[in-house]
Amino acid sequence: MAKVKIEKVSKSFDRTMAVQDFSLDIDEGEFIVLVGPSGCGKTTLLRMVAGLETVTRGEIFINDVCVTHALPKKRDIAMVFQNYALYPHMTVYKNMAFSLKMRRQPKKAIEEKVTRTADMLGLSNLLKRHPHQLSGGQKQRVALGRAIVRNPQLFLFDEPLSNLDAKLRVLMRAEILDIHRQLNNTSIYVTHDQLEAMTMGTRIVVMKDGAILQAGTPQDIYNRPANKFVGGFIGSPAMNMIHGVIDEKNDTLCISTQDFRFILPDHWQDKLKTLKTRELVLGVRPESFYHVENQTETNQYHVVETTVNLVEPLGSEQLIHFTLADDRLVAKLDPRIPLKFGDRLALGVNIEDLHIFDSKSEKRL
Amino acid sequence: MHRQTLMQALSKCFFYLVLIAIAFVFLFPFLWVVFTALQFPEAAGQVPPDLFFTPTLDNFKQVFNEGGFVSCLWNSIVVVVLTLALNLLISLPSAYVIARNRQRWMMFLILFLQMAPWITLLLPWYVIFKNLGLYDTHLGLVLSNLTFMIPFTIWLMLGFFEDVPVEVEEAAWLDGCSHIGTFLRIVVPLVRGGIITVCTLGFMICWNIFLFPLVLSGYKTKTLPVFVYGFLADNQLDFGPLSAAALLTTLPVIIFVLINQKYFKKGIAFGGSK
Repeated sequence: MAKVKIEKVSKSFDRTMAVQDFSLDIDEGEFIVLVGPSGCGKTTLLRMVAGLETVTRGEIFINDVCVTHALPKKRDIAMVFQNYALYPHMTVYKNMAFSLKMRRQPKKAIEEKVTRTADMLGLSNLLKRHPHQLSGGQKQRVALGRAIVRNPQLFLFDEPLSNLDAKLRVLMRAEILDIHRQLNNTSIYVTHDQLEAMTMGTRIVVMKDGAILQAGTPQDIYNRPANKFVGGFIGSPAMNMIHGVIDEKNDTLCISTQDFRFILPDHWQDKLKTLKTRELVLGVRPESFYHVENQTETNQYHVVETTVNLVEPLGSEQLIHFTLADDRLVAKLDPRIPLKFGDRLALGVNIEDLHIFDSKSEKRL
Repeated sequence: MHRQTLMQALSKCFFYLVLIAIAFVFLFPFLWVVFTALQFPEAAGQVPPDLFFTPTLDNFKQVFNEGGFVSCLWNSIVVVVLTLALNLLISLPSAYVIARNRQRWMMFLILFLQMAPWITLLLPWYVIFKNLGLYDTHLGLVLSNLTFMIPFTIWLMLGFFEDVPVEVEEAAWLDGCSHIGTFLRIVVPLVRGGIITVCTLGFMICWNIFLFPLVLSGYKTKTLPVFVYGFLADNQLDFGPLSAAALLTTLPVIIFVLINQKYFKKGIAFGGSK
C-alpha cells in the first residue's frame, strides 16, 4: 500500500499544456478514478506517476519519497494498459512471471506466485497459451494478473475496459473491485466513462483541460457538482441545463424562463440577492422530474407543462425528450406511464434537487 | 451452370500455363547450368544441348583439382557471417532509434547516400583500403559489404520496429526491465521475422557479390564468385567446370533460403505492407 502525493504537477508538449498545476493527495488503499473527456490530461498524469512521461513542473511523492525523476522500474508500480500490452511472444505463464524474473526471484517462488494469481483470476488452464490465442476478456485478465502477481505498492489502470464489450465490461469492473478489496492496494484508475467512475471510485477526480474541476466521493460529485461541466459530465443521461434569469416579485426571488417561473426556497434567497449577474443556468437531473397526473393538486410553480418530442423505452425506465425555454431536455420516468410523441405532459420538479450555476463562470451557486 | 464451370476450369488452366511459362523463363539459365555441370566436358556447352546424357561428376572433380575452391569457400563464409553479424549489431539499434523517434528523414538521407553507383566508390575505396592496410583482408570486404547492407537493413527493419506497440515496451520497463533489456528481451523477439528476412536477403547478396571482392580482395581473400570468374578469364570457355563451380557456389544460398523460407515469406509480406 502506498500514499501518493502529486504536488503542482504540470506537463507541456511543445506549447500545449496537457496538465496544469495538478495537486492531489491519495491515501493508502484508496481507489482513485480520474475521469474526464478525451484530451483532458488524465492519461498523461497517470503516465507521469508511472514514470513513462517526464514532469515539466512539480513533484510526485510515493510514500513520502520523491519519485519525480525516478525510472519506472524503481517506483514499484504496476500498470494495466488499455490495449493489454501483453508480450506476444511469451505464454501467459511467462507474461505473468516476467516481472518476478526481472527481480531475480527464485524459480520456485515465481511458480508459486504465478499459480496462486492464475487461480485467483481463473487463468489456470490458460497458462500455456500465447496472447493471440486468448479472447479480449482473457487478455485483460492476464494483464491484471501480470500486474498483481508481484504485489506492487501502487496500481495504475489506463482505461483497461474500453476495448471490451458492454457485458464483459460489467464483469471485469466487478472483478477489479473484488481484487482491490482483497489486496487493498492503492489504485489510480483512468476512464472517460462516468459510469465506471461512479461505480468504482472511492474518490473521483473530474478533469478538464489538464486541471481538476472537482474531487470527491461519487455521491458528493453527483449531488453537488462544483460547476456546470461536472454536472453535465457525471450522470447518464446528462444533467439538463435550462437557461434562465433571476426575477424579483414582491421581494421574493424567482428563476424565470419564457416557459415557467420557480420561486426559490428561503436558503437561496439571501445567497442570490447579492449576486451581480442576473443570468443563470438551472441544472436538473432527468431523474429529478416526476410525472404530475392531477395538476390542480400541486404547487404550480414547481410544475412545467410541455409536449413529448420523443419516447425512449429502456425497460426499467423510459426517457422522455421535450423542449423547454428553447432547451432540449430529457426526463427519466416510470415506464408504466403511457406516453407517446405529441402528448401533452406535466412534469414536476423538486426544487431542492435543482442545481444553480452562474452562466458566466459556470460555477455552482 | 455447366458452361460456367467449364470456363472456370479453362481460365484456371490458362493461369497455370502462364505461371509455368514465367517460371521456365526464370529457371532456364539455372537448369542449363545444372545440365552442363553434369555432362562430360566435351559435351558441355553444345547447341542444341543434349537432353539425354549419362551424368558425370567429372566437372566437379576438376573444380576441386583446380585448387583454391575450399579456401575461397572459407573466405566467403567468413566474410558473409561477419557481415551479417556486424550488420545486425549496428543496424538493429539504429533502425529502432529511428523508428521510435519518428525520424524518417534520416532514412531518406541514408538511402540518398546509396544512390551513387557502386563502381564509382571502388576507386576511392581501393586507395583508402590500400593505405589503411585493409586491401586483401576479410575486414576490408566486410566493411565494403556493410556500406550497402546497413542502409538496406535499416530501411527494411523500420516497418517492423514501428509495428511493435510502445505499450509493450513500457510494460517491460514497469516490470523492471532496462531499456537495453527491453530491446533485447521484448523488441528483438517481436521483429524476428524481419531479422530472418534481412539475414536471408543479406546472405544472398553478400554471398554472390562480385564487384567488390574482384577489386578489394587479392589471393588471400578471394571469394567464390571471383573463383568462378577464374574459369571465364582464360582464353577458352570451360563450360563444364564453370557450371559445376557456379552450382557449388549457389548451393549454400539455396539451402539457407529453404531453411528460412517460412519466416522469409512472412517477413517480405510484413515489411512490404509498410
